[in-house]
Amino acid sequence: MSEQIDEGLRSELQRQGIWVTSMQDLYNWGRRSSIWPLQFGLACCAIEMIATAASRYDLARFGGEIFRPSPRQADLMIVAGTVTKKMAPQIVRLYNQMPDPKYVISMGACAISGGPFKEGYNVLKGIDRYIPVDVYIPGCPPRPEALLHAFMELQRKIDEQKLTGADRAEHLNAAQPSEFPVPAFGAHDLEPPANPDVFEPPKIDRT
Amino acid sequence: MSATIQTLAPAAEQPRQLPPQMTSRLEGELLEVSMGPQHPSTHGVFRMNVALEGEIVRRLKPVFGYLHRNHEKIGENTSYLGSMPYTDRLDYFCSMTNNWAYALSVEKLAGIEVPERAEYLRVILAELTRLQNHASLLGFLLSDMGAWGTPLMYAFREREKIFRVAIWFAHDVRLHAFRRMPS
Amino acid sequence: MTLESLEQIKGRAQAAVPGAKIDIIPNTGPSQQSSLLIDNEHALAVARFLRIDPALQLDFCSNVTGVDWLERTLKKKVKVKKVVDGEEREVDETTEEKIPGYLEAVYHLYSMTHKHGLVVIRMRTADRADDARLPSLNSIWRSAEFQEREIFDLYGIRFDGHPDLRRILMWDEFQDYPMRKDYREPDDYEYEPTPHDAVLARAREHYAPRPHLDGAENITPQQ
Repeated sequence: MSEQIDEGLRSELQRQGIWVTSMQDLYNWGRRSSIWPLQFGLACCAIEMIATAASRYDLARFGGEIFRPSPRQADLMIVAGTVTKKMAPQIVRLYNQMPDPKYVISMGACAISGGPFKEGYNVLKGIDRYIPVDVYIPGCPPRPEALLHAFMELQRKIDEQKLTGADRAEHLNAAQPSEFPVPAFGAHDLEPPANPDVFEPPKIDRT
Repeated sequence: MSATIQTLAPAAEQPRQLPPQMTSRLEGELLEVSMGPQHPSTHGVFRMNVALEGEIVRRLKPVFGYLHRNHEKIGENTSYLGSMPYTDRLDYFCSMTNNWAYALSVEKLAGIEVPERAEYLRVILAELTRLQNHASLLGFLLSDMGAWGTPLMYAFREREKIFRVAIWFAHDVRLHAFRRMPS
Repeated sequence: MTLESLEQIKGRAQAAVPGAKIDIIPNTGPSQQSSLLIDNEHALAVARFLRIDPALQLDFCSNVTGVDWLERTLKKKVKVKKVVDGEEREVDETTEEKIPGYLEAVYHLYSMTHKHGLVVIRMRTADRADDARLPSLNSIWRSAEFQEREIFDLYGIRFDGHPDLRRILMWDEFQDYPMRKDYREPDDYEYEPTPHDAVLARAREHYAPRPHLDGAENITPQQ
């Protein structure tokens, strides 16, 4: 709801058949109601992602059923499953290929932190080491309801984004980067092991 | 997917035999395509380096490891029971059957016999898993054969019904059961 | 057709391949799955015998895997008769035997023709060096190709005669052999609220201990 219009006047106009809105509301309404995810699955969570899009849970109710095979046409990347170190550069590359505005849902324990496979030598400890993540959903795998919840959270986030002003949406801010460096395959690990511009290791107050 | 045209030496070992209705436009030229690891027609993350001559695949080199999650290395540090949840995730369409296979091998290793009731429970759970696996297979197969999403919708409807039975039976059996194989 | 005993297989294989040295590695556990250790020089000939022998026809190699054996010391208690203080007594004496480390490749074989199995064969490298070598059995069982590549990738055994020995699971630039027991992961430790065992040991390296707050810190990591 835009704050500029008086609520009483708005409802009065609506009664007369005149619908008043702001550019920002219209823009955000359009964007949040037709989020096109990238058709992209990594592991077990991808099956739950398909189950969410299929008949029982029906992601189409939220406008997100059009899974695009090409990153050029997608708005949302659902990182569904374990991100291995061998796969991580390709994911960052896919993210870079997506046009702005773009969002990332980190689905499942593995994509958040490595999950049960965190101790593995080939498992990346969370995709947020290389790309910014908007919504995290825990679970192994998260149930389809959880993915729907994440989807609604993302819609809420889009709804609150501003078109103008200093706190405008990230994709409207030219200073904000929309592409991130792709990690290289090193002799012992990915290089760098985390992108310091994106990732900040958790600080624990141990007093 | 990236495509680069490379002139490779034509495969000498097999003589070129094209069906009569098919003509090769790329005479002696092979198109090398790196397909995957993210490609709409691959299920899961798998890459193929394909050398194409027109429509014919002349050479194919699979590249895997994009879902190498180090079960074996992690298993070095877990107990026998602690490895059980990892076996679910080996094949996430058939998790209970994987559990069963793992349970059988541990029982063989330790010389354990399970009660008859557990055997029955195992068979029922494995059969439920098999049914939902077949439902998904039919959906994906028809979807790949060009029917797009419709068969998948029916298949997943049936799959969810099976899950409802399985959940009633053994905690949270959707993809993975957070419960060991009955014993 | 029932499978012969390992002793019979061993005897016939040694008769068929002159000079072959085959040992039976006993398994005393409940599974009783003993295996045959074949020497590297005659491995190909013995494998070919197992495959083409009409009574065996082990034509399906279902699984190939590696094992890393670190250097270990075997302690044995032996009762020795010794003269102590003028009289003969039985005294327990512990002898220590140092077994140098080696790598193993293990092949699981079945027969599709006779519907029998399982015969397990093993090959051992001389040491755990980076260029430990074994003969490739890819020419006998085609299904060993990718699995031998996997062993090369994870254990670092080089298979002589393998047509395409590259890394399979890890990327080509990777230099370690991660399934070896002495593999050390690159150190990017993240805090965990409930560290235990090996994670706890690493947590101690990264954070100063506070035994009055963390009950978990009092647990000693398992060796």
